[in-house]
Amino acid sequence: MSTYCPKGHESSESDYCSECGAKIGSPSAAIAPTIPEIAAQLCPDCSALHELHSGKFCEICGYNFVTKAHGELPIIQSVVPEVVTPLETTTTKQEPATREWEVVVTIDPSLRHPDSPTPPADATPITIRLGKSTHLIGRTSQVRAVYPDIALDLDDAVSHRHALLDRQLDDTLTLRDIGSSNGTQLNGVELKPMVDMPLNNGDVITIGHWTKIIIQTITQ
Amino acid sequence: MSTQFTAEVFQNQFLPQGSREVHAIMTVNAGENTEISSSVSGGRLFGIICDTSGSMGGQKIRSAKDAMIKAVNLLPEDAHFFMVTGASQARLVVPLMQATPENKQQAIINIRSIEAGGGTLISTWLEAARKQFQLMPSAIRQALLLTDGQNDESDEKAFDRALQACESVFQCDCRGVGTDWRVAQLRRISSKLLGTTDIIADALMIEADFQTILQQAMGKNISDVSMRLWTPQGAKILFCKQVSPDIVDLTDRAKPMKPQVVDYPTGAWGKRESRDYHFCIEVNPGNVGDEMLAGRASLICTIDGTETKIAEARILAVWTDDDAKSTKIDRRVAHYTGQAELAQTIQEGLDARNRGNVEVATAKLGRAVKIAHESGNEATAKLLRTVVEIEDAPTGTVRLKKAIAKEDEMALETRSTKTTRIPKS
Repeated sequence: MSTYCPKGHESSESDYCSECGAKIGSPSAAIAPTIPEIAAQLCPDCSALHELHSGKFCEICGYNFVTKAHGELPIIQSVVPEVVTPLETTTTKQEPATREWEVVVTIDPSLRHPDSPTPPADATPITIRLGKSTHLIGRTSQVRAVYPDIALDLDDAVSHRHALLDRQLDDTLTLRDIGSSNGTQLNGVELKPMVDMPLNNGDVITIGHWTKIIIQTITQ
Repeated sequence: MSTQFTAEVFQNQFLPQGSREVHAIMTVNAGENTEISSSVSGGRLFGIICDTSGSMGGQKIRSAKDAMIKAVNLLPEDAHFFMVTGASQARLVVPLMQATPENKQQAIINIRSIEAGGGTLISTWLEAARKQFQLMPSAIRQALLLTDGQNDESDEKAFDRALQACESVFQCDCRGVGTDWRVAQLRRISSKLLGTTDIIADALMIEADFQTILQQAMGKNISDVSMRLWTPQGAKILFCKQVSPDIVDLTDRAKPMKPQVVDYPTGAWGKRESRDYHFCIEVNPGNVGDEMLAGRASLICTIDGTETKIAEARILAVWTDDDAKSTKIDRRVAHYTGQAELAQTIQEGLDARNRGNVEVATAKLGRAVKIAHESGNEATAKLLRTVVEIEDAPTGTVRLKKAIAKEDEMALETRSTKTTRIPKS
């Protein structure tokens, strides 16, 4: 019997992949997205990773895992039902993905506020495929060690940790502003922070000075 | 076949996001009963290589001959031995034979006939020894090289070639008598041939030293052990060092076995022997929450023609955004990083002193005193006291001594790579 690692390599070792070193969990974890297997759970409020032995509060938003009370930020009840499930169970019975998402990051100079700096003229649209379960939209910070999946380093009105794109178990995609400084607009409507909004093909997210993110589905 | 090797890894596996460098200390302990019957059935072969160039004349050669006779008498009867003397040419004084009482008698007669004279062409000595060791390839093969001078400059190229050819044919400890030999030269032999280098300042001490070396050699009971290191795709091994009992940089000794797998030689092991290794591996950075194996280190030896894994340990990398976790440095990693710095600082300090650069020498040796003090390396601290006056060890305030005995300086240079273990807390 051959073993496959989460990244799809055939491994001769059963604990860690003999190719890439990725940890090999339960056999079905091979087709699940690469979610960490250490004793951790996701914060139901902001989706940040929370290690079980690192205390009862979420380190990002302050959510209290014991009382299930929300943190200091004004938080409106999530659209997602509040389920604090250990990761092992969420990753075991997952069908192979049928719907894939991607985003196109562009610069729209018409969004520019009079006080904003001039957007770079030669920026070409970038397409990023959403291969993971969670993608952070933000701006790289070496100091704070923030390395977003969708890094908008050219737009300094984007917060380092700005918003999250979450792929739900039914393959729908949701957007959540995680307390950004300058806010997030979905199709021209300002979002409330910490609320998941379902996304559809063709939706447009605008953030920062002039950054536009177009959501697209890839049909397979 | 089970052996009693154990391996343990000490590290802080938590890395901040974007970080790529993984450090780990691996401690390998050979158990009480490491004997692997087939290995020892290959027998033990001990070779003595003794300098008989003109400079050895007088007290030195007399002491060396006495020491060799004592060593021969101490050999267990099931062991094999041979003896090569070297000057401008090597002479096989005692060809390979078993250490039976009659053979020992014959060998002692041959040793008594040794006389000193001629130049120093170490390449010829190594060649002669290599031929003898090749006669018993499955034995535990150990040599002892004794010299008092430096190799002839004309021998440089031949020496390199001979040393290369001897690699993994036998292991060799080197001893320098007096102060006219070069530390760097002997260390090149001993590090290539997985042995130690030390100074015997006084010829009368040769005998005691020989006995210790012989005892250690006879205590080895498994030879040709390799450290095999697997690393993930895209990873790079920045270094691999033995850090205890002394520092031996093995990085350049890596032998690729297949993609992602390299072997480092570790030579022979005796029972209850314990060594530490420091690995530094650069991996592709992961995302917060990712866990990966950064390295799989195992000890490999060949038993009855099949490669056998006798111990294994894993080096992990876990990325976290918890600074409290990722900023911690493992105590052992920190300790051995300090010990490596100590050895290097001493070397640099002595070099500066020899160039007459008092300021740099004082700064470097002061720093060495401070590290030795902090890490509890009493042996090195003692050696440092022979070259500097220590005013305040915790701050590393020192004054260079005006006059230093050459043998003290050489002792410090040769023994600076000795490390201490971290004290058990």
